[in-house]
Amino acid sequence: MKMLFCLSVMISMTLFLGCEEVIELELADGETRLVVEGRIEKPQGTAVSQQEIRLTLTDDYFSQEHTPPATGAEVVVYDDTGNSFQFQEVVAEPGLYSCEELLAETGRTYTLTIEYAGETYSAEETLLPVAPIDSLYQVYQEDSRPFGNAGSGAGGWVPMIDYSDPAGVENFYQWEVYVNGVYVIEADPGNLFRLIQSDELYDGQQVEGHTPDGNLFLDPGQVVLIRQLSLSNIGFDYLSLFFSQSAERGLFDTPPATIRGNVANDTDPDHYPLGYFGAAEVAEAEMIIQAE
Amino acid sequence: MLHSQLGKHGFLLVMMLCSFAVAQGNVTVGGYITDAKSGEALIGANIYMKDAPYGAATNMYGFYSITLPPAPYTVVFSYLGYAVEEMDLNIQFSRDVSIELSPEFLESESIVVTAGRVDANVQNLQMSTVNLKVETIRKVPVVLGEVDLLKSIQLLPGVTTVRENASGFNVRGGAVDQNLVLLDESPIYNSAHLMGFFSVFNSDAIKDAQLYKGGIPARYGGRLSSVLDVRQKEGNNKSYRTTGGVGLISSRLMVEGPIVRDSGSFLIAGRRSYGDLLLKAFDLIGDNSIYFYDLNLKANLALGSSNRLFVSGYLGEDDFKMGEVFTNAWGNSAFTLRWNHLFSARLFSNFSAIYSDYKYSLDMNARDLNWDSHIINFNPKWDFSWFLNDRHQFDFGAGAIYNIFQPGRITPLDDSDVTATTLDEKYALEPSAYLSFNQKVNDRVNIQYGLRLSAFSRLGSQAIYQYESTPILYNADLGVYQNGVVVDSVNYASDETISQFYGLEPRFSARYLFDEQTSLKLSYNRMRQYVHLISNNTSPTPLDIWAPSGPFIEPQIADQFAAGFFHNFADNIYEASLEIYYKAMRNQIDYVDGADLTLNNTLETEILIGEGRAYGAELFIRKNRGRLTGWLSYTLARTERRLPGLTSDDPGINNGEYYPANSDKTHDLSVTAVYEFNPAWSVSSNFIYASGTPTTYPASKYEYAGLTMTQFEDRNQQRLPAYHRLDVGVTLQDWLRGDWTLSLYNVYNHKNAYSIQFEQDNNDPTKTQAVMTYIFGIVPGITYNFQF
Repeated sequence: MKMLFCLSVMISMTLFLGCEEVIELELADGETRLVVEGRIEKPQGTAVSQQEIRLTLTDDYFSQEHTPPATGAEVVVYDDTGNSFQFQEVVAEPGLYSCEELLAETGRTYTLTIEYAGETYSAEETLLPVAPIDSLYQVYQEDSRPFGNAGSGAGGWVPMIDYSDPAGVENFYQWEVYVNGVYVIEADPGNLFRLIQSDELYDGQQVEGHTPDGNLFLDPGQVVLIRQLSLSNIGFDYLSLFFSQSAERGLFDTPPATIRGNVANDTDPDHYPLGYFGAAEVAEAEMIIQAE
Repeated sequence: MLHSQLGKHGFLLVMMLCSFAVAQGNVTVGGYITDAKSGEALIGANIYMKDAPYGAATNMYGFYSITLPPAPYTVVFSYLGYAVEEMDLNIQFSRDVSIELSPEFLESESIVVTAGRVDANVQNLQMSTVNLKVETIRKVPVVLGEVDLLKSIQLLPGVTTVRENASGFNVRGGAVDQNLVLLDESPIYNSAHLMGFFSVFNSDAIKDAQLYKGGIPARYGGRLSSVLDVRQKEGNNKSYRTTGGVGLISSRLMVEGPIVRDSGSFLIAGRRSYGDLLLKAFDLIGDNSIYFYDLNLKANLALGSSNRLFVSGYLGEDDFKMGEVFTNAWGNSAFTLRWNHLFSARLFSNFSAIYSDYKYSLDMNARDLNWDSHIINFNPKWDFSWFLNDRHQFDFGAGAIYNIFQPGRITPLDDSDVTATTLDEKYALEPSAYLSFNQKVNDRVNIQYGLRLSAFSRLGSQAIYQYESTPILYNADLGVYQNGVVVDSVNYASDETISQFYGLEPRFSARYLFDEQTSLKLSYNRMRQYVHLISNNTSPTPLDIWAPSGPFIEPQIADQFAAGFFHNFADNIYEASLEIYYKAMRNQIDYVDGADLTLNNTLETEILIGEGRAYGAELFIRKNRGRLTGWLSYTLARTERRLPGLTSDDPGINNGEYYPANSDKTHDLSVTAVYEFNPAWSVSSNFIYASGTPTTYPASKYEYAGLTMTQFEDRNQQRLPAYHRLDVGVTLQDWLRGDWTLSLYNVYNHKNAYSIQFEQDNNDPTKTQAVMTYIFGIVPGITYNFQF
C-alpha cells in the first residue's frame, strides 16, 4: 500500500507538468525467461475442482505480438498431504495447463513443479482464507478523476462493495472485476490501491464503499462480477510492485527493477523465471446494473 | 584516548597562539565596510596598505581587522563594482576605521576597478568555490524569465542535476542530500519550489551566495559534498525602498528601510506564484491547483560599535491539490537570531541560535487519511575569528544541533475507517567544535589547516528492533532480498542513548603564488554526515525520507582531494582555472530492488550499504570586464557507486560491481555570455551540452495478470540521450528605473529527455512502446522588475 501512495502523488504531478512523445529506440535482446501465471483457487460455498496454470516466455521488448507460449512442459502440483495433481496442456490453447480434479482446501500448502526445456522450476504457496463480500451495490458518480477519459464526461454507475476485515490477523486482498463476462484491468495510478490492499490501517474494521476499479463507469443492463481473493504477504508485495511498475510514467521515475515472484529455477538459479504461483480463497458477488 | 590527544594538541595550540599574539607593539585597525546607498555590509571587500604588505578582506558581516606596526599609511578600500576609496591615516593607536563605499556607474567600471582585487581567484587561498552576486544571476536567461540562484549555480563547473528541473543539485558526484544548504545559517532541507522549477531563494532578498565544492573550511560540517551558504540582505538603513517584480509564474515585492538610521534596518520580502489563479480563471485545471509562496524577514540593530543583533526568518510552502484525490503541502521554516560581538578589534565573534522545521503533509482523500511529517532542528553555536597579526588568523567555535525526526503521523480524515498511526519519532544530538588556522607563511605561500570534531548521539525514546541476524536477508532460492527476522524490541527511554558516533574531520588548504597572475592550490577535506536521504526516485521528491544514523546505519564519510591551477591574463580581464578532484565516500545507502520505502518504520530492511567514488576535471574561463562578459565551464567527470551484498554469496546491486550513479554525466559544458550595449540594455545567452544520465532500459517483455510488463535487469547500464539547449535573453531599462527582461528558453526547441518510460499501448495491450517525457520545448518569458 505504502509505495502506491507516493506513486499516485507523483504520477499525478507528472501529468501536470510533462509532455510526452513516443520515440524509436534500439534495445539489446535480453535473455528468454519462463513466465508462470497460475493460482490454485478455492471458491467460497462451491466445490470447483478445475485449476489452470499458464506458461509463457519473455519476448523482445518491441515485438508487436502476444508473448509466445511455453509448450510441452510437465506441470505437477503437490499438496501438503502427499497428493499430486498432473496438469495437461490444453490442445486448443498451447501454454495453458489444466487439471480437472484438484479440489482446493483453505489452509493447505501447494507446491508447483515445472519441467521445461531441461530445467526444473518450483514454487510454494499456502491458501489463506478471505473475508466474504458483505454486499455489492451501485452508486452513481460523476467522473471526478483529475484527468478522466476525454469526452466521457458525465460519469456512470460505479460498483462498490462492503466487506468486514477479520480483527487481529494480517490480511491482504486482491480484487478482479469482470464486466459482461470479460476480465477488465487497468493498473493506472488511480487504481493502484484499489486492485490490492493490506489491512495494515484497517484491521478489524468494516470497509464500506470499496471500489475495485476507479475507471469503471457502467450503464444499466451491464453485468458486473467482483471477485475478492486472499493474498499472502509475499504475494501482496509482488503484486504491489508489479502494478506500480506497470502504472508508472513520467516525471517521478522510480528506477525500474526486476520483479521476482515466488518461482525458482532449481537447475540454474541465474536463469530465473518471472511471474507468480498463487493460492487463494475467492469470494464472489455479481449484479446487473439497474436504471434506478 | 581521543580526549587526551585533543588535550595535548589543545595545549600546543594555546602556546602557539600566545607566541603569535605577543607581537612587538603592533596596533590594530578594524571596522565595517558598507554600501553607501543602502548600508548593506559588503562581504569580501578588500582593505590594504599602499606600499606596505598588509591587507585583509571583510568577513560575512562586513568586518575586517588588520594588525600592523604603527606608521602613516595610505589605506585602500576596494570592492568589485564600487568606487575605490583611499585614505591617508597615521595609524599610531588601535582604532575603528569603518567606511562606506559607493557603487560606481557602469561606464566608469573599466577605469576604476583595476585597483581592486579582481585577481581574487588567483590570490585567495580558498579553491573550489563559487561566489555569485545577485546582479550576475539577474542577467542570465532562465526559463520563463524567473531569476533563480540554483539555476545559475548549475551553469558552473562541478554542479549538475540529475534531470532538468530536478529538486536538488549534485556537486562533484555527491548525492543531493550531501549539500549543506544554509539560509542565514539555518539549514534548508528542500531547496525547491514547484518540484524544482524554482529554488526557495528569492533573488530580491538575497545578498550573497557562496558555494564550497572542496577545501571546505572547518567551520562547516554535517554534509559530505558541498556547502551553499546563502546570506540574506540586511535591509537599507538609509532610506525606505520598495522593489519588486512581475513575472509569468510569480511576483515579488520587497520593502526595506531603516529602524534607526545608519544603525538598524529591516527587510520584508514576499513572493507568490499565481499559475494556479490564471489557470483557474481560464478554467483549465478544474479543481486542481499548484502554487508556492515564501516570505523573507530580516531586521538588525547595532548596539554601539561592538554589538550588533540580527533576526532573520524564512517561511515557504508549496501546495498541490489534485481534485478530490489528494492535497499535498511541503515547506521550510527557518529562524535565526544572531549576535555579533567584538571582544576587541582583533577578536570577532558571532553567536547564533537557529531553529528550522521542514514539514511535509499529504491529505489522501482516496484513502481517507492525512500523513504529516517533520524534521525539526534547534541549533545554538558560537563562532570566533581571532586576527592574531597580519599573517595569522585563528577561527574556532562550537555548537550543537538537536534534531527531531517525525517521519509520519497518520490520522484519519472525517469518518474514515483508518486507524491513527505514528511512525517512530527519532531524536539525536549533534555537537561539534572546530579550530582553524590561516597562516601566510610568506608572500607566496598561504596555508589553512583545521580540525573539526563532530559527534552524533541517537537518543530515546524509541523502540529498536533486534533482528535474528541482519535486518535484511537474501533469499537465494528466489534471488530477492527480504526483511530480516525480528526477535525482540528494546525500548530506550528518553534519557538513554541508542547509539553514538564521533570522529575527527581534518581540513587543509594551501596556495602557492607563482606570480601575481598565477597560483597553484591544493586542498583536502574529510566530511562526516549523520543523516541520509533515502529515495527510490532518480531525482528527489518531497516524499523522500531523511533517516538519521543509528543502530543499523553508520554515518557517511567522505575524503576529497583537489588541486587547481589558477591563471589570469590580459590585466585580469580574463580569469581561468583548471581543477581536478577525487572523492571517496563511505557508508552510502541504496535501496534494494523492489524496496518499499514510504511509511516504513524499518527502513533498515530495505537498504544495502556501499561506497561511492567521484573524480573529474573542471575548466572555468571567465571574462570579467568590457561590453562582453561571461564564462565557459566544462566538467569531465565520473561518479560511481558500489553496493556489494551482505556476504559474498548475495549479489548486492549489479553484482556488487561499480556502476554509474544517477547523477553521472561524462561531459557537461555551459557557455554564458552577456553583451552590454549600454547601461540600459543588454543581451545574454546560454548554451548547455551535457551527456545523458544513466538509466535502465528493458531487457524483454512478458504478460501477467492481463497486463504486458517490462522486464528490467541490471540498474543504470544505459544512458538517456545527450542534453543540449540554447537560451537568449534581453534586458532593457525603461525611464522609470524599471527593468524588462525578455527571454527565450530552449530557442531551437530541442526535446530533452527527462525520462524514457516503457509501457503498453493503451489502445492495444499487446503493443509496447518507449515514451519520452520532456519538460520544456521553446519557452518565452517576460519579467518586469521595478523599484521606488
